[in-house]
Amino acid sequence: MTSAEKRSISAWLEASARIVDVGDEAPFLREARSQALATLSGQSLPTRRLESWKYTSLNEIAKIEWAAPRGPLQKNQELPATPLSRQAGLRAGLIDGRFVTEPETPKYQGARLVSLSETRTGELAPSGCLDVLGQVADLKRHFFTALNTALLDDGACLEIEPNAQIAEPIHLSIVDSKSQTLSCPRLALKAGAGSRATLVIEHLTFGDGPRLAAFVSEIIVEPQAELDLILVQREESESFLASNLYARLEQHGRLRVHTLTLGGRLVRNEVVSELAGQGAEVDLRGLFIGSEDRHIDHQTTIDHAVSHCTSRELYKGVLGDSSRGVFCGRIIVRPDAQKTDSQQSNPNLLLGEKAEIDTQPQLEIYADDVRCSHGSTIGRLDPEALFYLQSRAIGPESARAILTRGFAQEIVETVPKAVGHPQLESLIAGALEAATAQAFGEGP
Amino acid sequence: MLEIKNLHANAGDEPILRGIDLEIAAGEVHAVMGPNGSGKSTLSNILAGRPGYSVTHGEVLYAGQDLTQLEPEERAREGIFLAFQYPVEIPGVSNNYFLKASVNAVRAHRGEPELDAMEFLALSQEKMKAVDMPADLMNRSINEGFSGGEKKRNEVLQMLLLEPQLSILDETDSGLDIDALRVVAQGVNSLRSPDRAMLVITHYQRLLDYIVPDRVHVLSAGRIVRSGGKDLALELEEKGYGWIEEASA
Repeated sequence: MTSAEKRSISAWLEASARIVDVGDEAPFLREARSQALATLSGQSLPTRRLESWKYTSLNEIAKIEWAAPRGPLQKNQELPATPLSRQAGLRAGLIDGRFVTEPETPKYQGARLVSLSETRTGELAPSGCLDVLGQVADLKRHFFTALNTALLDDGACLEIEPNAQIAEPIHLSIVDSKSQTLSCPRLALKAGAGSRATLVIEHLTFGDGPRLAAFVSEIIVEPQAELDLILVQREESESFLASNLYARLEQHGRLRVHTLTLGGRLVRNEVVSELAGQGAEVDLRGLFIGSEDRHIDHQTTIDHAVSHCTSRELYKGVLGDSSRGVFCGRIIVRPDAQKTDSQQSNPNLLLGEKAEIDTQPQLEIYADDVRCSHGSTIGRLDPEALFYLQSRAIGPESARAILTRGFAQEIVETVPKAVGHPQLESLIAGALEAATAQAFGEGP
Repeated sequence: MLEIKNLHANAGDEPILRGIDLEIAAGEVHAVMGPNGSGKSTLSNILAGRPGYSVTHGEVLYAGQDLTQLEPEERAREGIFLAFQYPVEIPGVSNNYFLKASVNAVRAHRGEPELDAMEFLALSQEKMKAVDMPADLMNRSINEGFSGGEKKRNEVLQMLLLEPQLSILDETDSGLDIDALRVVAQGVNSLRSPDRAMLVITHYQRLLDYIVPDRVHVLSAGRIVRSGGKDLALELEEKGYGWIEEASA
């Protein structure tokens, strides 16, 4: 297979099935790949007949012929600088799935961010992330995870050393630079016991034309570790992104994920977190902003496997024009998970006449001594608040823009300050402007 | 400054005001008192242009122009200010951002240059002192988690920042303890001047000890049934609304 070849996804799957061995890869990788191939055998892209794909159609992806970038590793390729990456200490990128780092990687106290392919061929000392890769993700349930694993040959390994306290954010840019290209970026992340760190994952595309990224992250949060993840999804309007994130939290581990979906043609987010150790806390927060006929789909699973864990979930949608949002929040409370404390909420602001949201909580509670609450709302701007602003001389267009920004702001507020609030707010303002242009007129 | 002639108005579909005549000249402070349901809030909402309230008959002239033709923001830019009985909480929008946008909207309308962040900070700090408001309330979301007293102070702060020609205070005393009431009244009084007017709507006479009106009107069942000087408020306090309602029946 060469990078020039373009095939449909089904043809890629058939071709992958014929791969017996790719180079001198590590046994664990060969094993993961063969499992993925076995899982995919006879499968094609999911259709809307499947319950989990009921609201999201992949027809457009099926029609396009994709090239898979499997060229040689490009050394010294430049990392794109963005307003967010400039706030970071340690940074790297996955450009078309390939790991790229700064020419002079500074020695960084407490964290290592290296290439998966280098790690597995032994060019660098084996990383603790190899304990993570293939261990947390669910090949069987998620098509794009199986696809990523079947075609995997590079990715990023991030290891936070035990007890490291890293104040500066770490930045990983995920870039799709080539038109009509399928990329399979992968991240394996281990937050060592008692450590504290923030990772920003920023998705970007350069140039026109469709892209498809099947991104998989696997994360283990060790006991007492605290990890903040900020996913900034701001691809161009022809891009497809499937982002599947899997996290396992051990005792008193804390994970907070902010998913900011600001761009892309079709974005499907799968976030699966397993609360595997007592006292673990997960907080999933999402902001998704749709304009034109974009489609944003969030599927989250929070699995309370043991007792005394806490989960919080807040996803806010702002949908303009004829954009469409999907939120499906599954919460599982296993029989042993007594004293579970779980809250889920999904308020949405529908701004476009033809905008649509399908929101669905799924609670599966098998323990009796638990506190679980959930709620979702679909609405327009509060007329009382609009009148209040207007009565203070603010015109209706500006008033609507101010209220919409206020609605989104709640999600930004909990992002660690070091990530760069002004930078995030300006990215969000851009997305909101696009989403509200038609509904509110030209804006303030 | 404000002329209300034979005003009939509905809240929703329900007729509430049934023929109000009221004239307020520059420099004057008028109080409108009345029992619950007499139409006090409807009057203030009609003047501020709240959606859901409509004039069915009569007219309202402000500085000679038909007020009912103006949008709420146009009224505000022309110098009308309503201090809300229930100020609205707006999560995610900082008080500071809101007030700066508001002040600059009025300044732009008057042809004055907009204030930058530093200029606005200086102005707001000065006005906040006047209503004894803690500095952190500027960085919090509008009215979110504010106590009843803080909300009312925030209303008066806005009034001081916007320097309206005609201020309408809708039950600004409700939910205030005596100290807060004094501070709020002081703020309001500091705006009194020969070229401004005020309409103070209240259920209780108490507020009028601090904001002393030139005229007092009693509203009952959508009509002004009695008007007088500031002593009328004291008489009402003593005899209750029943006295007026019986006398006017």
